[in-house]
Amino acid sequence: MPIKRKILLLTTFLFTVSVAGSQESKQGNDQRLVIEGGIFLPNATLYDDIAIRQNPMGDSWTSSDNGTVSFSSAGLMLGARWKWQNSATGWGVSIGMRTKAIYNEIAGNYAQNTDYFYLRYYSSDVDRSTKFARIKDIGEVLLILSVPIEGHYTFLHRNVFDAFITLGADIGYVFLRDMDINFRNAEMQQYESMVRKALEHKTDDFYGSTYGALGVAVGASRNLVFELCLPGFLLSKKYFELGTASYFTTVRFSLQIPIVKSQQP
Amino acid sequence: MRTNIFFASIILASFIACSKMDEYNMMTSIFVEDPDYPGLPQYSEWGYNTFGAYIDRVAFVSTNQQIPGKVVVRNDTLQLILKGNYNGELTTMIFMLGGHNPRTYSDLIDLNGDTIDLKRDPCAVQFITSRDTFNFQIIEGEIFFKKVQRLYVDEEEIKCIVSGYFHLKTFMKKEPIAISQGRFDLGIGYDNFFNLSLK
Repeated sequence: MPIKRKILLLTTFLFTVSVAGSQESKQGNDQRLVIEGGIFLPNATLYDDIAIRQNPMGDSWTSSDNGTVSFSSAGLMLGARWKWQNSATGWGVSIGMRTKAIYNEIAGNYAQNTDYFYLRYYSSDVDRSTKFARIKDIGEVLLILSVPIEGHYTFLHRNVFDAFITLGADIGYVFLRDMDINFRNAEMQQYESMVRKALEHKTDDFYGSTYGALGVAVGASRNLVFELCLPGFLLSKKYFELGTASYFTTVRFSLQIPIVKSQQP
Repeated sequence: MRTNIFFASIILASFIACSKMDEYNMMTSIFVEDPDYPGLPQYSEWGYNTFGAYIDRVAFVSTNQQIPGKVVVRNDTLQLILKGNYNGELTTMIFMLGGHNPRTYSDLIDLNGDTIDLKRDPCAVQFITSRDTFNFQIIEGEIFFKKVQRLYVDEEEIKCIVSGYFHLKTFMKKEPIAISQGRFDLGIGYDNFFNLSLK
């Protein structure tokens, strides 16, 4: 099923749940402000067409795969949601705002003397020349602002914790995108625009994802929440300029502050 | 004052050390094995300083211990010298290509796209093992310089990357043999280019 249709179905499902929840029982309806923070880990892989020359690694001259560079992608997220929770049925829904800061990095191999790698940024059959730049690392930063909508179902109540599942969708926009190239030779800074051109890839600024998560709420009023999202699906593979990602994992911590608490029957 | 000189010396020494390391990295071989032809390096145009060919079924391949390729120009003849491992011993194959007289390694780009017929053109191929020297009588064969390009690192020209293919049929100890799937990707620069015709 196409991912756009998945998001549409999920969003429809979440609204249905929230409406059904509010119709079903006015009693037991809580409203909470959820302050959340977490780690966002896309399964990003480096674009194959970024022309990085292999460097020798260690004494093994047959070692070449990923021998020269490491590529990492990780992010932090921060957000706030308004959550309606029906303690009688266990169903809940939340909507809010979320920011994600994602940092991707290509770094040279620090294991040997080479703390840099060679990036080919120019190759021409006309003047028959190939140009490499020695680069220590390339960092890409994205800031994404999004609106998450989530449905929750608490399936286990215990004295010390509640366990619940979450289904969510996140729609947003990449409002800041930047890249920093750290050259080995500072004089190469004047060629940064040429090097950046060699890294250029088409990117999508409209962000979308769907995800499922398993969580536990602890505390007397269940106000501390830990969630593990595995996996999440990205709407597009082209959010990054350095690599491509389809999936992600998140680890999320939330603080739920009760705002409206209905009277118990 | 002495302290300043001391620190300046350390900084200078570290810069010198770094530049030597850079040269070293471009000189060292990077062997990416060809999945279709086990034992041979994959064809590349990156200046990985490797070559390889099958001599009948046995691989003749560059090693990391020896400089795999040298170019020597003498008497209007360009010698492309490939030094590697064949049957567990150090072996050299020399392509002597007449009518080519590059003055510097930079002039090697004139070979770009050239296919040289080893039987018809003024050429010779020599094969030297620790025990024998063979002056091949070529049945048929070609060397193809698919891409020859100047290599710049941080906008400074440091080498010429010479990449291509070769194959030939010849005799070794009166037995016909085929040298097939030959490929090379060599960085030729100050350390492995010699023009002995210059006065």
